[in-house]
Amino acid sequence: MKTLRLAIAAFSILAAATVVSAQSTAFDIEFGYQNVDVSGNENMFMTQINQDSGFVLRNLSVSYFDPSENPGFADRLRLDASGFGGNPAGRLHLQMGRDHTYRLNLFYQQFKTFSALPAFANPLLDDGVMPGQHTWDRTRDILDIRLELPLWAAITPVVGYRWNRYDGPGLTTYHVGGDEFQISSDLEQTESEFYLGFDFATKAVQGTLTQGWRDFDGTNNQGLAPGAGAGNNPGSLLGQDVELDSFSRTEKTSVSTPVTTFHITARASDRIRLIGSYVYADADGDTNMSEMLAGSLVSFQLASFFRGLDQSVESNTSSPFQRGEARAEFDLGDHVDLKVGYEFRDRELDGWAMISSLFMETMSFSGYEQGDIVSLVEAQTGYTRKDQIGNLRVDVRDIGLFRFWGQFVVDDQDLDVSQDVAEIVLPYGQEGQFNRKVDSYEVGGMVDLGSAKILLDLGGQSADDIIMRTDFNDRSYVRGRVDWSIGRLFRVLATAESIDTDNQSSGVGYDATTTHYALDFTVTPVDNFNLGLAWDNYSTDSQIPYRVPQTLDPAMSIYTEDGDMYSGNLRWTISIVTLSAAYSTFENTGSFPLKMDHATARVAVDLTKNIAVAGEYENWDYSENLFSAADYNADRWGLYLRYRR
Amino acid sequence: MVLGVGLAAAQAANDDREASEACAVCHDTVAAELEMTVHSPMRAGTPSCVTCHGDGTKHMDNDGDPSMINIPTGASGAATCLECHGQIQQMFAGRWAHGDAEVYCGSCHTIHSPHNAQPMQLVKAANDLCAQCHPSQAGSFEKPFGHDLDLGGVQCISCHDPHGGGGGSLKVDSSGEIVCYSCHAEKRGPFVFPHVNGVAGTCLSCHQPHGSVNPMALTRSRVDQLCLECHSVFDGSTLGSQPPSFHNLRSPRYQNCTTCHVAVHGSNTSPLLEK
Repeated sequence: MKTLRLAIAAFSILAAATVVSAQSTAFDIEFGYQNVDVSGNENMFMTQINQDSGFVLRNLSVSYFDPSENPGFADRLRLDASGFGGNPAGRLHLQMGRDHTYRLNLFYQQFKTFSALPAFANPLLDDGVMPGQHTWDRTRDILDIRLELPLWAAITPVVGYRWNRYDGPGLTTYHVGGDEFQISSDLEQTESEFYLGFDFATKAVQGTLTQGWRDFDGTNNQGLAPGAGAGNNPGSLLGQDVELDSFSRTEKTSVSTPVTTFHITARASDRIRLIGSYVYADADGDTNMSEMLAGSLVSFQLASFFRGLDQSVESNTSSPFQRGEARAEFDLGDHVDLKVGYEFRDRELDGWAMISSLFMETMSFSGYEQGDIVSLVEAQTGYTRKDQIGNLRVDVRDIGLFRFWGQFVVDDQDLDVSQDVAEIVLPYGQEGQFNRKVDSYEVGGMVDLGSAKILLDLGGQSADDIIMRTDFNDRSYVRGRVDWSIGRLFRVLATAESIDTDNQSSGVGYDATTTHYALDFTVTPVDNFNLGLAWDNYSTDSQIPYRVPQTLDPAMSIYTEDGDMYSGNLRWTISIVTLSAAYSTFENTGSFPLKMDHATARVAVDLTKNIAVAGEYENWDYSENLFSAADYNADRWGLYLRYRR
Repeated sequence: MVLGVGLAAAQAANDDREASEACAVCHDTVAAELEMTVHSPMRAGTPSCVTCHGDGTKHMDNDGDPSMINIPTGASGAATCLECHGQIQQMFAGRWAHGDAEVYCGSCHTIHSPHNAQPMQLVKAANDLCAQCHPSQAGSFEKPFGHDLDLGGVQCISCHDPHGGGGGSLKVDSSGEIVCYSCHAEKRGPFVFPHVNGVAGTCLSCHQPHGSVNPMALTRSRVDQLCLECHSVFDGSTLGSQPPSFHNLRSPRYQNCTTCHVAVHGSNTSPLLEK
């Protein structure tokens, strides 16, 4: 991993360095050191923010252009990088090329992902045990390289490679033998895709055809977490202590997916454009898992106690997916556009698993020694899903100050889920054929008064049936926007959105309302001063009846959010000093009340035309009304040097 | 035919370049800047002033009257850019994501400036550009759980295609599926025992990607509440309502469904999503 990062950095720097002395080059770098200090729940801070003390690359950009006839190996280059170091994410983007020769696009991104929530997946919270039992500290690296070879006017060969790796340690849980045990996990998952093809372009027809080969390889090695052998639940089951002495599991998954992609846009006449696209991906996956454990355990399925389990699982999936689209766009004069389209999406799944379990040293609940018991379960799963979507859209533009649009969409969903005997806990209901047809409409208009633009957009959806309980039968929305500005002096932007969703059919009774309002005010009285103020409110209220599992009594699941955010920011340049600051406070008073304040301040001083120093301060203050152990307050101080030319 | 098209385009570009030389007499600063961009008229086959602004004869004859020259704005302005940027045109096809709001190429991209501070010739940082018209969405990222839009993190354009595309305003991944898999590749499956995704819902059935007040960016603050809304039976048969949960939720042990059902994104080894 480190080798890859170094290789990407070395290549990018080398590419940039070779052009740095050229006639038209811009270079800008800002880097420095930051110190992070957290009081309160550091795990929550890392879960949400994850800033760390250390070196940080705030920004690097190199831009080069050589318009001469003989520019060397590149006539243009653009390198942008930011965030690497103490920041939780870093991004690097290199674009370079030479006319009629090549275009290279390289993108790399790294995310440090951390999660250790105090109350999530935590059955021991009442005992004061924190964090919860599902935690991880992992890294995700993403690389995307694309090389285009525009050697000919009409055909451009393309070759590319995508790579995505997620790895690192974590903790999770396993329910076995009558208890839950915390287990450690060492995960390594990589998806890579190599593709090649070509872009084609003539005056009337443009498009792309590529063939890719995607592979996924994942390995998860798991073991019993230190001190977790006693399980989550104290006491005994049927007079026997439940304990796990040892546990190990290795799961390996590989998926191979050829992917074919085709797009075409054709200009049939000056007023008609035809668009087609097609994607076909045929995934085929295999999983092998082996698990060994020993202890004092109970199986209600076998009505037995047992001392060990040797389990292996072999499984296979086959899942072809295709998606196609055909569309015609008609230019009906200077003011009217008509678009008619059809899209389909087909997905199938055939799954098979053989689960072989050897329960060792079993004893019936009545005390009869049974020896080892073998259990073989063969499961076969499957579903097909077909979506057919038709749409019609009309745009009427430039009618005086106005423009209007309207759209109608029909979405026909067919889902056929196969039931498998091995899955059945309670008979009936896991399988089925579902058909759902959703009609959607949208109408809107905008008036452009020059300094002010007013937009109103409303729509609705109506479905004849539902597939899941939380699907809607009816949904409507209205959105509005007013954007008023006087030159650069000030700008007021107000947006409002309301969404009403419900399903009052028998046995569901789902009802939800969401509103979202925002008001932004920006004033720039002089070039060197800018002030922004904003308010944002997000409110949602949903309810759906459910049955309380232990009593089967009906109850209502109610969820609310009512969050207000106030924020302000300013930027002020006085001679060689630039001051920028921002503050936001967000408070939610719904089902999960909390408050989060966030403040940043930065002072940058231009020491010379090329060199500047900057100091930054950032503070986060997070608190939950119901659970103060989650609260934290964190400061970040940073000192940075900037060089540009 | 292909060769003919190429030669014709090159000839047209040469004609335009000669006609554009007159522009630089007055617009010397812009012309000088333009020469240092990929749109430089010095380069063979590239556009020039005339390519986008049209014949400037009347403009020059009327003392530079700006009404006498084409200044690409709005949808017609976008059409000018799309004449050359065929790949973008292809993306735009039928999905004029920003057409409703009269956003055109120049709203976000600068044409003339060399060495712009932002990549893709953007007039300001990508996230700031989106936020100036979508403040509600930008505000959602101030919530404590969700994607990090800060330095080096995801950008709005990581998931959304401002030009439109196969998934509407949402991008699709390389195989035409929901964009979430572009990063969260391990959630793609396929799984022998799938759950929600691809069957009858998407990632958005349970998660709020823009930011959430709930851990794991979930749509509900309590996991059991989120699960029970589907896994509950009244009358009728909806997918997922069987088998209904039968655990005693008064026990903390069962209030955290995912403590046992850890593989909520799908499993290849456990029908009950326990590993």
